[in-house]
Amino acid sequence: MSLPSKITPDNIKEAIVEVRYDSNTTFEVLIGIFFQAFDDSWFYTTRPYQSKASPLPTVRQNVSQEVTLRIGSESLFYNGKINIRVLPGSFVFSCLNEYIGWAAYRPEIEKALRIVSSTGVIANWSRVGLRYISEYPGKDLKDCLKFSFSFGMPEIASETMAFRSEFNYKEVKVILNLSSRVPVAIQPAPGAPINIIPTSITDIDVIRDGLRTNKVEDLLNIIENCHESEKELYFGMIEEKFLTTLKPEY
Amino acid sequence: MPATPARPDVILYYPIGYVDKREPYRESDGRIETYSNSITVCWDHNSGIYSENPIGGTYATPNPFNANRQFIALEKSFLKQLEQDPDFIQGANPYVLREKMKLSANAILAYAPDKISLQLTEESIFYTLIKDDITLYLQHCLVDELDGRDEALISIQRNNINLFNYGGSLPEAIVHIKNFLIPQYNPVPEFA
Repeated sequence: MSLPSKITPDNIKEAIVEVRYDSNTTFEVLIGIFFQAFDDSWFYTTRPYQSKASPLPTVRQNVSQEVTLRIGSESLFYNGKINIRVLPGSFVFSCLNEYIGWAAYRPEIEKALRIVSSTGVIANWSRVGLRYISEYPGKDLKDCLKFSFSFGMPEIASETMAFRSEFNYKEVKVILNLSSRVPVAIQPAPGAPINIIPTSITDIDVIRDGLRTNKVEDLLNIIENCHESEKELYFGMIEEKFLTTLKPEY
Repeated sequence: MPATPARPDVILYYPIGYVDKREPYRESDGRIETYSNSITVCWDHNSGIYSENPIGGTYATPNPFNANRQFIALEKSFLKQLEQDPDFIQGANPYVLREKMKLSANAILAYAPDKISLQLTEESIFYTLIKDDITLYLQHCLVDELDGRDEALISIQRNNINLFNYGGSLPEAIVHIKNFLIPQYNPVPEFA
């Protein structure tokens, strides 16, 4: 079965590609090496570290004076299409603005990975993860996907629902999160009343772990395979009637 | 039937889109806790080291990718304006100015704004931030006049009604923004 190469709208909110690596060089030195290797079409910046959320719900009065110094920053490379978070042990790719489509996204990832690989400091590519998150404002999940949910009392219809599943599919591990009719507040215009829009979400995380290769060609093939699995799962789940509304192009 | 032992490697998170109603912020103003424009996504162990624990309320987990996009857009705008006005602050080191901008921009991006813009004004950076029906103005004054710390002015409005004003050091101003808008922990690194 051929899969669409494009749908409109694609409803994609995030399209993350994470590639993990092992290196025998310390991270601080790696950043310098990568900075030298990326050409002038890439920009480099650092962003001060963000805090983790407080592990427990906090009482406002008790946190009013909490100020923390956290020294250090996160390294970011970006060009006109994508940005890359460079972290110890991983590169995390995402689009600079809205999703640009795999046909444009993949070459940018490839370009960056070839640059990184050419430095010779990557001992091993250890893991690939692709995570696509789509949102469907105003829709029930069952209107978008071949999915229904009921439990011991079938007369009860859920107003909102979250579902999580982990499974193996071909060579990849998949973490699937589905949510139906989550309340989302949207303000149509500044000053206008806030509208609560029930929104459904599909979140498909495809993971290929335990890799042992330092060849960039192998890595690119694995990323492509992961994307193919991601597509198969998404279009395998999608309701055919709903798909026709998305103007699929083959 | 014996109880099933818990998997030691499983950390329980709230599901995607969970709305924590235990601590609605600005309850006295009748505001509702919302996921404006985008659902908070639990960046948990699905994708590894950029984990965020969503416990703590709506703003506990602003999407880190959106925040990076906004941060990059602000920095690009700042550099472009700085290039157009090389005499923005006579004798100031552009690198130092850029690092100062990063601190103030980063601090207010913790609020996960719907829209944010930046404008260079006389010896300061002026931010306008929109989140739901709140508009926040932050003026980051880059030339210290008293004790060597950067100073800032803030004004917070809702539907053109003034809610809060403050003038003081930048870290203190950011703490006030946090207390007013974000009912949870937020770091304020001071420029060293």
